[in-house]
Amino acid sequence: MTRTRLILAALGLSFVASLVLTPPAAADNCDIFISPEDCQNTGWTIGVIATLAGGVAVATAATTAGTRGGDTDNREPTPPPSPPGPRTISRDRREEDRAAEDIEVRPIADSPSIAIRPIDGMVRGHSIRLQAHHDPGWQTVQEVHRGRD
Amino acid sequence: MVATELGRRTTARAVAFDDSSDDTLAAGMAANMPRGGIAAANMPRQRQLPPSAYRLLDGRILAAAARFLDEDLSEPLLAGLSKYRALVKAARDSLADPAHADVIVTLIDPYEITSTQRPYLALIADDNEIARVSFEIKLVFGMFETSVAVRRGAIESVECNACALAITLSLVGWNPPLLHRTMQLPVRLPVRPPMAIPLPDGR
Repeated sequence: MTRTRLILAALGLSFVASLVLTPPAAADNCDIFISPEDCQNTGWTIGVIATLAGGVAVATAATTAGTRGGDTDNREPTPPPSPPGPRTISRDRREEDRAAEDIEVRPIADSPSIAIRPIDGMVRGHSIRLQAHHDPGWQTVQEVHRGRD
Repeated sequence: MVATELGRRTTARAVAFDDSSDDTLAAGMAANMPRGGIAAANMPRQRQLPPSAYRLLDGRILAAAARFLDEDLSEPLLAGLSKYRALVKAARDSLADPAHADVIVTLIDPYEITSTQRPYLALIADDNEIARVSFEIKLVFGMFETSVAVRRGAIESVECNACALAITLSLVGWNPPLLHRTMQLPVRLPVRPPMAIPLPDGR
């Protein structure tokens, strides 16, 4: 990239030099009417010199660029390490998730311990007990107990 | 209030938590769990994980703990009732005399049946248990005006006009509980098949 820019600059410089130098050089000889042939020759001479100068400038620029390492495109300063992008984060997250998923969560039941007690703490133990008779044609319910158990 | 008919497979999740999903219950529990997490506090030092992995593991632990609420509620209730002395006597009498095979026992005094269970979650890696997280589930039934039908030594049905139920799921060694609910729960529980009342002398 840098080399291309140098070459373009040199070419532009030589073109401008030829434009600038040729007319005055030609004018020197043309205006004084020494010889029309001299006028033409001088113009040619100056033009050739300008073109050669441009070529030398291009060659110099190319050489200068080459001695600095040739491929300056690869000599761009190394950018600092960028922070992890979304893709890196998601990959790390997946690995962490896998670390958690590698662990099995296995429920192990326990038999309950069961107790019954009077709510107010007083053990009165009162109950009523009825007995039912389902004999065909003779169905009764009889209270057989009321009070302490 | 409509009486809740507790069947053989009525769970605490259905009665007290509107059949909420594991994730919903886990989210509720997460608000009450230790700030440092559950897994991080229980994992061995040589198997440390990144913080995001711990969070993921905690979510799975809480979701698994929610499944402890899928236990049948009627079992501890019936097991508690079957310890009641008047019912044991009624069961014995109904077995001894076929003429008195059907008995209804009404408990006049209010009684409380408490079921305490300590299940745990084993964290397994490479077929080895690397950590254990213990929970406690406590069910407290407050039984008021309870009638129990006994036939040939087995409980056939339970009716309770004013039954209170408190459910607590907690992490052992940590307060407050992860989940807690109390409710009034009239009960009409047909027991199919009937549950035999265990007799102390085996009869």
